[in-house]
Amino acid sequence: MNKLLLIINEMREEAGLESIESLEATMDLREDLTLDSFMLAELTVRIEDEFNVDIFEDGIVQKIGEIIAKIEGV
Amino acid sequence: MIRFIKLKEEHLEQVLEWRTQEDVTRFMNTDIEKDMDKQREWFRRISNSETDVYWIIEIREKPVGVISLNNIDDVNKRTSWGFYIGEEKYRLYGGIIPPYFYNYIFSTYDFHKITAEVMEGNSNVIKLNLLHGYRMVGVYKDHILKKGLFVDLNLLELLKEDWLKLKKFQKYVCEFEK
Repeated sequence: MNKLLLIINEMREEAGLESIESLEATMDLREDLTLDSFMLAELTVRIEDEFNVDIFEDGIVQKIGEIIAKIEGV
Repeated sequence: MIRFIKLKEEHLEQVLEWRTQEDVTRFMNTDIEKDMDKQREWFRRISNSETDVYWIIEIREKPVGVISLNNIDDVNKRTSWGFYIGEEKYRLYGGIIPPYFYNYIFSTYDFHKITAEVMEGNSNVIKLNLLHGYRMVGVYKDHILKKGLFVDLNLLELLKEDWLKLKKFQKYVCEFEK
């Protein structure tokens, strides 16, 4: 999931936040990664762009693990 | 999961509530009063308009925001538009709602292009628009008088052919009430 980490770090840097070294499935998008609603909106577009995946297909996602599962088609 | 239903009188109170929230109005070109009589008057005006169409955005049957076509220009086959999500919890859908909208309008209406105006400071929306294939046209300097201060207005446009050329987001198709 290096590409996902890269996308998240690009967004964090643009928002003046520090990069993170790795992603854990249990990480909360808002609480742990400090992504606000607008950043999450951008994240969904970037994920669709990169992986051709609609992460909201089954409802709102909150954890990194849910996104990884979508990307990996689990 | 997502659908767009025509704005009706029964939605007006909720729409006024959203439209007067600080987190919604801060990047709006206009600020409105929390006045139901004026809201009904606005609704009558847009209901009779041939150049504006409004829908309520529903996610899993919950109304969450408003999306609209504005200043439809049949002669030049273009339109402007706008949307907002009033329910904070659902704002993260802000990146995928426009693709549903573009797929619908470019296949239903005979538009050659759609234009967007984004207020200074609303960089997230500019970024989203660029990811959706828009090009930046320019900036109107000091174009909007907002709370006593002049602010710039960014102008963007998306040609139908550029949207189709993008070849992305094609699966974002859903029900729009006519």
